[in-house]
Amino acid sequence: MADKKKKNLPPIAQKYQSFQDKREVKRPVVKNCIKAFFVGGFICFIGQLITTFYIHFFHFTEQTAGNPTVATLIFITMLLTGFGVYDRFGQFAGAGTAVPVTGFGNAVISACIEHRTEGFVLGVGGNMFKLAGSVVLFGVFSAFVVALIKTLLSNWGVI
Amino acid sequence: MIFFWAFVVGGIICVIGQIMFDVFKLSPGHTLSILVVAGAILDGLGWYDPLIDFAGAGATVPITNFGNSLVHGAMQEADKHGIIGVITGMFEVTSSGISAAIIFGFIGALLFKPKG
Amino acid sequence: MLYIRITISFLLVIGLLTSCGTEMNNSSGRNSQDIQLTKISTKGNIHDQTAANRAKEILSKNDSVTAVQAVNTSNKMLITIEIPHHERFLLEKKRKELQKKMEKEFPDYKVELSTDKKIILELEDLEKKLREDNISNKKLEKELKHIIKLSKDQA
Repeated sequence: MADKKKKNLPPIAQKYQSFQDKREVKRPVVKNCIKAFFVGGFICFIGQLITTFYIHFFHFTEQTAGNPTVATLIFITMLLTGFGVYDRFGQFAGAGTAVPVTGFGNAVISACIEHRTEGFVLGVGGNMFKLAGSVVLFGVFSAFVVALIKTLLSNWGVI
Repeated sequence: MIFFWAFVVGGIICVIGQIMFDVFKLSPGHTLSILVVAGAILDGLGWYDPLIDFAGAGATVPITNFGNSLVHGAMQEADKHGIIGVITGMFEVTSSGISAAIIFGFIGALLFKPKG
Repeated sequence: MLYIRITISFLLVIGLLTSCGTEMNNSSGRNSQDIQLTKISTKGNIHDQTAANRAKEILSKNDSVTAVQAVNTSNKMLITIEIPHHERFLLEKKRKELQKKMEKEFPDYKVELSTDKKIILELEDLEKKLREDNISNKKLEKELKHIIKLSKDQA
């Protein structure tokens, strides 16, 4: 993100930026991507197992089985986060654990656990949406815009 | 077959997230927000549902599905009640993810102690 | 050495995944000449299944259909189909197309066509009960109504 504002900085700060960039630890992009692929795929594979389980043994259809699947995955995330195991996976896999819904759950749950010492109302309640807040904000707003455009277009007969 | 494609498609979406982390140096908050918006836009174009039919959990587990189901909920209500439905219907389908996160977050705070 | 072990274990995982998938595929019979369907002949007591049997015949001639189940009552018919996995991208389109075709073919029935895995399972159970003559007319109507309602259930 720092390189975006490079042009607006005074020359000595720009010099520092290039100094920093040269010395910054290079990230092993390909290795990280491979790890993210396998861990993320594995989490989705578990999700598919859970979905199939709910379809076969309960009264859920393919459409409605997504809800209990997500709830079950977040429950599992709660256990893993509570026992301190999830962040080890996170360090290993990066986006592989952050992108699935388990990453969202982990962000909320770990914020809750961390701030519990500050009290439930102000600590837990006040801090739980640190990361989740931006996801919810942009999700809701973009869905609003998309749905609005679609509805207007279908009302005017374009779609 | 669906297990294989769930693995592959889920992995690909995570790789896209990882590229945003490493190459574009975005924070997790930025990455997830971009992915949710992408999910909403793909559903607007009508491309996300075929992906779910093809890949099953590979498309429903990543956070992109959050954007997709928000648009679904909004469209369902808008079909029934007109434009106001866009606002009223949004969280109908998505409530499981958010409610579960909040409920289990609170339960977690009750049960677990923060570690160093 | 560690990376070799990790690579081998991941290749095993992928092999496991693909075999998970193919096992289920074999059970639904992907041989194009051998589409999985069983016609139901019912004795006096239960709703006549000739319409359902005809629907199965018509659909089995379609290249994309790998398995088909159908049950009808006096005024309703529920059909479920399975299509090969690589065609699932166009699942909704296919479903609408075949639903229209079946509605034209059977104008006296209210036709519902579904591709949902759960509906397929439920309909298979119902067909089994019909074949074993284990179900009364009233129960059949009730069950079919229940399954059709399930298929309409939007999350």
